[in-house]
Amino acid sequence: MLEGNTSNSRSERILIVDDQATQRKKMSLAVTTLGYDVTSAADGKSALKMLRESEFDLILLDILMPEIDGFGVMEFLKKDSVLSEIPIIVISALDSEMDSVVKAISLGAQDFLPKNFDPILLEARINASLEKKRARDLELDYLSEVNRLADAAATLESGHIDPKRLGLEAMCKREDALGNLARVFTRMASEVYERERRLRQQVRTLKSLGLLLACGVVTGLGVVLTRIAALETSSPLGMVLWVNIVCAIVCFGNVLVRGRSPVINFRLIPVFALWAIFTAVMGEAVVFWVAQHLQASYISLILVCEGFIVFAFASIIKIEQATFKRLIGFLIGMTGVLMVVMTTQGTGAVGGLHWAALAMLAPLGYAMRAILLTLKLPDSIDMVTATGWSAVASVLFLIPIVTMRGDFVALNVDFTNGTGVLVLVVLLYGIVSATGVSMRVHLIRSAGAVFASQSAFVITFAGIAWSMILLGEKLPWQAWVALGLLVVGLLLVGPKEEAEEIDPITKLDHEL
Amino acid sequence: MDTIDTNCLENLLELIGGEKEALDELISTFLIEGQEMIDDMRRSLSSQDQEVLRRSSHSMKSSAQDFGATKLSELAASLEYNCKNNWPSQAEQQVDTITTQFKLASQALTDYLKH
Repeated sequence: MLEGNTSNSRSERILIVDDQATQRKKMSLAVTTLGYDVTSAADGKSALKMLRESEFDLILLDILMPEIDGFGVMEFLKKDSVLSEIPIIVISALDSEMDSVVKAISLGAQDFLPKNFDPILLEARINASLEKKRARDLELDYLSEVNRLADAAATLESGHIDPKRLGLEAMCKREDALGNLARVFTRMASEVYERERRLRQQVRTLKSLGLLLACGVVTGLGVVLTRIAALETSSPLGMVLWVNIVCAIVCFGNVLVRGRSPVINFRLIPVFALWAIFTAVMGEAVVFWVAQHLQASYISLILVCEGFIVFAFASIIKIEQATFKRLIGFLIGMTGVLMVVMTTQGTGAVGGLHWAALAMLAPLGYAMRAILLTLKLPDSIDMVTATGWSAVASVLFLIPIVTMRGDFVALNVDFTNGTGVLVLVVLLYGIVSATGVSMRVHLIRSAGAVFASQSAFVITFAGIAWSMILLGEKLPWQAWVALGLLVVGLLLVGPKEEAEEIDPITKLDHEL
Repeated sequence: MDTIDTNCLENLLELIGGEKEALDELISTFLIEGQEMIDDMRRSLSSQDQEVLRRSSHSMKSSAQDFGATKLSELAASLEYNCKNNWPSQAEQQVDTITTQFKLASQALTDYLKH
């Protein structure tokens, strides 16, 4: 497009390359007069240096130059993907250089200009080349946008990336067909992404649910074993000590068989110390103690409180949101717990209420462990290794206490006098503990503390079932009503919302 | 004054934007560079360097034309043409004529600069 405008207001940068000072100066003055920003170079080498260092919109190139001539410059530019886009007008004396012009055009020159050009021809040729360059720039811009869209599609196909993070927002704002395409693409990709995300979460929830059931069934067996042991011995701490020794041996045996290193960071010692207090002292020892006075099924019912306590803790430290629905569930659950505690009055246990209240320490300890593991246990530590070290910590804690109280339980392998049962219980409980706790650690990591604490739910059912099967216990109807209330309560508190399943904890981890 | 076509100078002045100072500067540049071209031609005669002779006559042709030194430009064009294939038989003679004509043109341009 030819414009008759010669006012000094154009921003295009033009490079003039000519070895002859007179020609260079003449062209420079003429092009400056047209209003362009002019730079000149006296030979091919310095021209290439300038082209590498700053941007130009057009080159006016002389062919006959010493060292690197016009052809040399063109051949070099041709190899560079960015520089090859700069249009070139070859300057030549037509009478003697016609062959050169032909060669230059074949090398990619846009146009040619005779040495004795007149102002109108100069302006027309420059304008035409710049116009082509502008169109080409638009085309390249469009192409690069199309490529970005294609890249975005490839990225999406290769992984699970949120389409909002593909950086297509600017393109979506375009008003042309490409903008339309980008909008449709982003919208469809978002829909697919959402669907896939929901599906992945469902799979994760299902997996967690399976683990939850397994974990509950195994741990529920522990309560029954505790009851059996409690009827045989009056030294709960001594039993817990043995169980933890077996648990540690089982865990480290497993770790060594798998060829892993059981070594952990010294800075985690306080975490394992707390873990030991929460589980060995508040949990297992208390359960052993109350098991002498309460039925295993009742203890199982009380252990279900873990779910509510974790929810309460998580709400307070803002891992979880305390919605109205969850609060109602919490209250219903608490009513159920109260009913369980009240019904213990009728079981004939001496001071049943007192023992039931004491038993509440166990779910409290387990709940505190869940929160502790969520916040302080690095993901890098193998779950079995962690369980093993928690057992070691428990043993170290229990040895002085057991020694002081004289609670040490001698294990007699002689089955004839009845004490041999304890050996079996200890071995079995050690294995159950190692398995159950390892599963619990994995569950807390993969599904979050609150969801994991729902295993208390399964533990309760499993505990009651095991008690009925192995111990022949029976529950009064009030206990079943209480259980019903607990189920409803836990359902209302519910597992975490799927969307916040991972994010809030990860966020908390970053803050800590 | 037939050594210089002043119409060409008027056109050149228009081409470079109409500033008399710019034209003066351009003429001065040509006077210096033109002398260098003559020197190059003379050197090429002793070394029989056909390429240098061709290139300097080529440059002289173009620049002389710009400044209206039509006669000089024609002489240079003829020498350039003769250099195309073999060493021109009349090289020395042609360079002498060009030298003389360049001196005349230089004088005319210097006079033009003064007035």
